[in-house]
Amino acid sequence: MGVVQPQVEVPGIEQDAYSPRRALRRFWRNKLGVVGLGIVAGFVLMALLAPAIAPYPPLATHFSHAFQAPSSRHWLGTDELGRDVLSRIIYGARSSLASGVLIVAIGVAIGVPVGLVSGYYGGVVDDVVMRLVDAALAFPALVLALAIAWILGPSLMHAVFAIAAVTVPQFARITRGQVLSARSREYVEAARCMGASPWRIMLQHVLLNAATPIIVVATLNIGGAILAVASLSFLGLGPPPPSPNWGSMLQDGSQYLNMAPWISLFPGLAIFLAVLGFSTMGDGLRDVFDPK
Amino acid sequence: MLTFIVRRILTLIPVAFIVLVVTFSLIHLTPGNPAYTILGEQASPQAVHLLDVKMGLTQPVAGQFIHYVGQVAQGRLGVSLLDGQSVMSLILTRLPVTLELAVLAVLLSLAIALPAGILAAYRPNTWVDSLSRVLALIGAAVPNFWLALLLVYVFAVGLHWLPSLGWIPLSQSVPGNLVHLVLPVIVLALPLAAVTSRVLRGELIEVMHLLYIQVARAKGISEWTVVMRHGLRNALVPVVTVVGLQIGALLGGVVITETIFSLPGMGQLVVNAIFDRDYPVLDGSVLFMAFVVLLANLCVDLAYAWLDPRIRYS
Repeated sequence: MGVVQPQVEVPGIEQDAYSPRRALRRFWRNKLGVVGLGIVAGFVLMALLAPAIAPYPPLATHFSHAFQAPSSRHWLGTDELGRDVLSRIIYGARSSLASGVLIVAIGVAIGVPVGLVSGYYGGVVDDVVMRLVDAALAFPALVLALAIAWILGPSLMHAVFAIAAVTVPQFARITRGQVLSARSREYVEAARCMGASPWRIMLQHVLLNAATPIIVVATLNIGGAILAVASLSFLGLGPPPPSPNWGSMLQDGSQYLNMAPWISLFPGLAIFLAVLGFSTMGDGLRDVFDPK
Repeated sequence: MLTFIVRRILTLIPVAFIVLVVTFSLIHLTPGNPAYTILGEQASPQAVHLLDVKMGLTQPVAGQFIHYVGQVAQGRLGVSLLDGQSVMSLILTRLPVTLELAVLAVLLSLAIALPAGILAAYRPNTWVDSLSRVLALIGAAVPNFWLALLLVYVFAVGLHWLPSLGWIPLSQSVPGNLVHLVLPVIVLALPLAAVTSRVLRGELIEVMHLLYIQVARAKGISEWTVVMRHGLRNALVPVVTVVGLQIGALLGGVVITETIFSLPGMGQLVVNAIFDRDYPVLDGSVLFMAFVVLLANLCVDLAYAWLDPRIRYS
């Protein structure tokens, strides 16, 4: 038997304030948010169409073309092995975006249920979970991720796992905060009075209302996750060579900063733009849902 | 206040215990024998057995943990596998460098964030506010390792104004020390300033709508004085929290910055430990940094309670 959602008319508050259409209209009016969306869309297209738009294969080496400055043949120059920097950046978008999204997906998939149960039940469960979260957040995220990635061995999946491990507690804490404010609301009380089970209340009422801030934080965190993967790769704990990865490209190029700055400058620019895109898009979403 | 302090310290004990469990468990996350991870897959069985004995890995796990907690309680974080030096003494040797870097970075970030946040809040939704927002977004998004390379390329390689790497101790030469820290401090301070300025702007705008601000305005006090004397004091309370909570991120940034600029601090110790496969140094450093963050969080909470008495009674 389904639970009837209580329809409460609150005077003074527009009932369609958070309707998808209205939210979309407000988002389109937010210039920075739209710019962020444009940057993200550009990177997604770049990753999807990499084989079609990359001028050269990303792993093809031409020693005779090594260290070529940006030109009409190689728009962003070539690296120490004569590989085309632009092609490697285009292919690198695949692993960077995929790892960023995967890290946040793992963080949400584990952190949100943990925060939901902790916030809803409270008491000992909440105490235990929150102490675990406090302990996890005590570790500098990059340092703990470094240690985990080193122990597991350098690879993209291990880097993703290491960063996801430090992302989970962040989502648990955010969700718990949202649940704490939602669980005493009238609509939750109403559902409880109507005999809805705790799981139904948590999933259908509490989570649904807590979803917006979680989506905003998740969008903002994708940029942070891309940056973290690039940081681990820069320190040599990302995917092993020769796979095209922005962080390791930057690290390789830093050795030739004097003679061929383009090798490290352009991958860094790609990381910067990708992070900026997700940050501004997340900021735009936050402005839509929390106009304060 | 005393009750609040005691209560807050008591909540720290289980958290510190869990931190110990995590750092103890790190080595046990290794697929297969941890000694192989440290020595490499080509290591001989004798060498692996010797390392197992040296690190106490032949003992039952519960016994290992009790021994580990006992050692940490006495300030012993193990010994380096490279030269047998105490991990704690290695950390303490490198701590002043990291501490100086972090303190200067926080000071520079405040020097940027306070005027930027105040100006943005003083003229909200104007070009000043928009510029401050864009700069904050850029500051938060720029990868610190890329920014470091850009600064090195411009100021060290191009203009020859500043050294690209290296370190001179404060005791040897104050100007030499500071010159070597200019670029690393900028790299660490910018993301921190970006976050702090936006928090300050938000808080200040909220505070400026409160009743006592309207009273101050009604008295005819100039808008600038209202902002600086009445608004800023209250808006700064959450800023203290933000700066405190950024300590963890700052320590993460230190790892990258010290590696790029060859600064002999704790960050470089962590990275060297990884490349030297010196597990006790890595584990000890991670534990030490976690305790620093816990202590910083405690200080923030106490400062917050001191600044806002309502916290103590809630």
